[in-house]
Amino acid sequence: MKNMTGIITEIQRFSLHDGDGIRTTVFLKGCNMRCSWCHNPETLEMKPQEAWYPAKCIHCGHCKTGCPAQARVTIGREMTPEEALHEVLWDRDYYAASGGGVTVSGGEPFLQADFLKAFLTLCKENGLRTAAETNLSLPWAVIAPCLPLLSHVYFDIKLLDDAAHRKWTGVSNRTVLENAANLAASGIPFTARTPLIPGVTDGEDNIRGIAAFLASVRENCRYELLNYNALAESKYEPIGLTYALPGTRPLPVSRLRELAAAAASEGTQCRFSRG
Amino acid sequence: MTIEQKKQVYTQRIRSLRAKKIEETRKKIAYNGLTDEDDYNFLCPPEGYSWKPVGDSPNGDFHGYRGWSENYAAMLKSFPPVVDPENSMCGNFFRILQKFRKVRWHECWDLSPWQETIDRYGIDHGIGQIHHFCGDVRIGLNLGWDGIREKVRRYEAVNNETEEQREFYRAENVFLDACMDWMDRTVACVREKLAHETDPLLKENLAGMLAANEWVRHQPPRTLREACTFISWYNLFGRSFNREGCGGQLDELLRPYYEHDTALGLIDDEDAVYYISGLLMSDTKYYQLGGPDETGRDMVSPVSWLILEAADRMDVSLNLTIRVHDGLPRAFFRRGVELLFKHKNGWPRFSGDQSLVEGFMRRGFSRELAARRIAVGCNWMAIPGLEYPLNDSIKVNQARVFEVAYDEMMAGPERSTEKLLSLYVKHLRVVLKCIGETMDFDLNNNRYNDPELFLNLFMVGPIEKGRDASDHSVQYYNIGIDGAGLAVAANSFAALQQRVEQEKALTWDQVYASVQANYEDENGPYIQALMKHSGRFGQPGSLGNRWARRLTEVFRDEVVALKSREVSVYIPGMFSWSKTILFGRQVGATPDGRKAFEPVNHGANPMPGDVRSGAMTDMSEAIILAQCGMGNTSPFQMELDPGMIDMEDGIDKVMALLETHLKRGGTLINVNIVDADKIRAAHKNPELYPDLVVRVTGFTAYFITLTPAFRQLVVDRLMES
Ligand code: SF4
Repeated sequence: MKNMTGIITEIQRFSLHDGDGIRTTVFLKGCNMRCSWCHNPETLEMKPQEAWYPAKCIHCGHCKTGCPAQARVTIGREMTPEEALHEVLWDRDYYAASGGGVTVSGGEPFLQADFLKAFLTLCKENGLRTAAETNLSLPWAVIAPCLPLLSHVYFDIKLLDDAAHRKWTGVSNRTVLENAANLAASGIPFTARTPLIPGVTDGEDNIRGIAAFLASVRENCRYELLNYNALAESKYEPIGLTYALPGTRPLPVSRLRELAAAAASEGTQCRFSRG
Repeated sequence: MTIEQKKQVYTQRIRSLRAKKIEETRKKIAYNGLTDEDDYNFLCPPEGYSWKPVGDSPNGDFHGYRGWSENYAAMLKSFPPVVDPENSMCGNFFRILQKFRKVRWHECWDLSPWQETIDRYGIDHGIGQIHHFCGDVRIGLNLGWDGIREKVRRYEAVNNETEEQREFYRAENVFLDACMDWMDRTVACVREKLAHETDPLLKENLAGMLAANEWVRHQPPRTLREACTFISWYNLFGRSFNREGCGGQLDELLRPYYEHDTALGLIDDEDAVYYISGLLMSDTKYYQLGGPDETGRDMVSPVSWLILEAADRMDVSLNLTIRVHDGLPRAFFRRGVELLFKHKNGWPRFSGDQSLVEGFMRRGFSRELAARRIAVGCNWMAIPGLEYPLNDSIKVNQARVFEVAYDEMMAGPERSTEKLLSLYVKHLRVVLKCIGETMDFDLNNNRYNDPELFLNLFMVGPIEKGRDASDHSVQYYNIGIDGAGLAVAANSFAALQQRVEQEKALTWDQVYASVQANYEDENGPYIQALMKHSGRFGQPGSLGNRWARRLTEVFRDEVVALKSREVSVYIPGMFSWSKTILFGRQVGATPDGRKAFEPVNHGANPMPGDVRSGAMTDMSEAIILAQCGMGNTSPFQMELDPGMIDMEDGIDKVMALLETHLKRGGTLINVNIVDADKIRAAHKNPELYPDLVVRVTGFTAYFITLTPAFRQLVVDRLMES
C-alpha cells in the first residue's frame, strides 16, 4: 500500500453542515452518478481538471507558464492518506471541544475505496470521529470494509422510482436501496437525505415513498430533506459544463414543512434544511 | 405591584430610554459629524450652546493642572442638569473637554529630537498619551465623595513643599468642587421634577433617585442603587473630562450591594435589573464579567446574570467582556453566546484567561497580580488602581518599518529575505528607541500637558504622593506597545521569498520597479497578481503564516528587550485599533500586491480576502501565530453568520470555536454577527438604520456614526465571511 494516493478536490476546515460539531470535510474527486442538479460539479471527474474564471483574468498572457491571478486553476490534487491526515489533524482541538470530526464526501468517496480505507484507518488510529457522505450506489463489497471505521453514514435516496432515478442520475437505484437495507442491518448510525429538486424529487409521493422505505429498513431513522441549492449553477461554466436546470429556485419553507410532515407520518424522524 | 407588573413597567422604561438614545445618536451626528469612535451615550448640546475653553498657548489649547481643572469647572457649569424620570440614574453631559484640544501635546514642546523618526516611520509615539489605565472604582465606593475630598485634603496638608504639589492639589480640589456642584445642580433638578411629577410610578422612581443621589453626594454607597449611582457619576466625570473609558469587574463591584439589599429584602431582581440598566446606559464603559479571582475561584454570581439580563433588555451598544476559563459556568458562557446572536450588537466579547495570565507572568509578575489584570479597555487589560500601561495608545506601523527596510535593501548590493529581515530589525529598533525616549519625555512632562485629574483620585499613589499618575506615582508603569500591519509585512516577506528566491519567477529588481510604480507599469498587473497570490498569512501552512510568526517573535523580543530611563517594562501586543486606514496612508505599494496607501490589516487579522470564506479555524490559527504571549492582546476580529444559530447545535459550535481559540493561545475575541443583507442595505442608506450596532474593533459603535471610508472597511471585512 506504500505510495498509495487519492485525488482530493478540497479539504474544507470549519465545516458545520456535514455532521456533528466542527468538522473538516475531505472531498474526494470523482463520481459515478451524473445528477442534473449536482452542486459539486467540480467533483464529477476523478482526474484533476482546469477551471477558468474569466472575471479574474488580467489578460497578462502567461497562461502557459501558470496563471498568476487564479483565473485558471487546477481543481484536484493527489495526496497520500498521511498527507490528508496531516491536514485534518490541524483542527483536532476543535473536534474535541465540539464533538466534531472528519467527514469524507465527494463526488463519491467509495470510488477511491483503497485510499478511503487507508485514510479512515489513520483517522481512527488518531482518535478522530469520522463520517461519510455517499450516494451508496457502489457494490456492498466495496463499502462494507470501511464501515467499522465510520461513526456515521450520510447517504442520499434521490428518487424511489428506478426509471426516474436512471433518467436524472444516470444510475439505477437498485443497489442504493439494497445497500440502505444492508446499512440498516449493520447497526451503524445513519442519516438518509433527499435533495429537493423542484419538479424532480419534490413530489409528495416520492418523499412519502422514500420515507416509507426507510422506515421499513430502520424504524424512526433520521431523514433530512435538503432544499435546492441555487448556488450550484455558477459552478458549471468555469469547468466547461452546462447546467441542466437553469433558473430553478429553492422551495418555500411552507412546502418544506409539508414534505417533512409527510415523511414523518411515514415513520421517520424527518428534518429539513432551508438551503 | 406584582413582580410581573414591575417587570412590565421597567422593561417599558428601558425600551423608551433605548428609543431616546437612538434618536440622540441621530442628533449627535448632525451636530458633531461622523466619527470612527465608540458611542459614549452623551447628549447633543442644547440649541445655542456655545461654551469654549480658555486657552493658554498660541493655538488656543489649554494645559496642565490649572488649564484642565479650571476649564473643566467652567464646562460643567455650562451643562444644564439632565434628569429623565424614566431612568434609574440621572445626569448626562454634552461635550468632552479633551475633544476641544487641537494638539495632543503642548505645542510649545520641542519634539525635534524625535520628529524626523516619528514622521519617517509614522509612529504613534508616547508623547501626550492620556488615560488608557484603569482607576479602581472601589477606592471611591469605600470612601464616598466626601471621603475622597477628605483624602485629598489630608495629603494636601502633608505634601505641600513645592509649588507644583500645591498646584496639583489645588487642581484636584477645583475638579472635585466642579463635579460636586454638577451633582448638586442635578439633585436639585431631580427634586424639582419630583415635585411636579404626577405619575405615581415615576414619582416613586424620582424619589428613589433623589434619596440615592443625596446620600451618594456625600457618603459611601450602601445599596445597589447607591452603588450604581456612584459608578454612574464616576463614568460621567471621567468621560466628560478626558474621554476616559475604563470599566472594571462590574459583577464583583456590585455584588456586595446586591447581597446587602436582598438579605434585607430591600429589592428584588427586577429592581436590580432596572438600576443596572441605568448604569449601563450612562456610558459604554468596558466591563468584565466572570473569570477567576486571585484564588482561582470564578466570579460569576447572580449579579453577573442580572447584568446580562439588563443588557438583553436594553439592546444597545455596550462593551461587556466575559473572561473564559475552565471554571466559567457553562450556562453563563452559553447565555453570553446566545445574546451575541440575539442582538447582533457585538457584545459580549470573550477574553482568554489562561493566555493572558500566563503571558503577564512571563513578563515577570505573580499569578495573583495577573488575575487582577482584567479587560477594562477597547482591546486591553490593566490592573485597576495599580498600573499605568497606556495600553492601546502607542503603535508601531510594521508595514512602514518593512517599507523603509525594503527601500534600504534595494538601494544596496545584497538582496535576500534574510538581509531584509536584518534591516527590518534594525529599523524596528530605531522605532522602539524613539518610543522609549518619547515615553521618558512623556512621563517627565505630561502633567504639564494632560494631567489625569480624574483617574488620580482612583489610583493608589497619586493623591498620597501629590503627583500625577503620569508622574511616577503609580506602582507599575508597564507600557504597552502594539504592532499594526503585521499581515502586510508578513505577506511581503513571504511573496518575495516565494516568487523571487524560491521560484525565481521574478527578480528583485523587477518586483521593486513595479512596487515603485504602484503596479501601474507595463508588467505591473502581472507582477501584482503573482505577489498577491503567494502563500498568505491566514492560509494554513503557508509562507505567510511562517513569516507572521517570525515577525511576531521579532517584535515580541525587541519590545521585551526595550528599556528606557523611566520604563523598565514594555509589553508587546498586536493591535491597530481603528487606525487601519491611517496606517495604510503612510505606506506606499508593498510587495504583497497591496497598492499604495490602501489600508493595512485590522488588528492581528489576516488581510481581508486571504482566508477562505468562513474558515474560522484557518483564521484562528493565523491569529494564534500573531500572539506575543506577554499579557497583552492580539485580538481576533471574528465575523459569524447569523444562520449558525439555526443549526441544531449552533451555540455549542460557537462555544467550541471561541473556547478552543482561547485555549490554544488566543487572548481576546471580538465577534460581529453579520446580517449581510442588513449591513449592505445600511451601507447604502445608513440613516435608515440608526440602531444598527457593529463591533468596529475592540469597541462597538452605531454603524451610522462611522465615516464612509470606515464603513466600507467594516463592510469589506464582514462581507467576506
Ligand atoms: S495567465 Fe491567467 S490572468 Fe493571465 S491571461 Fe491567462 S488566464 Fe488570464
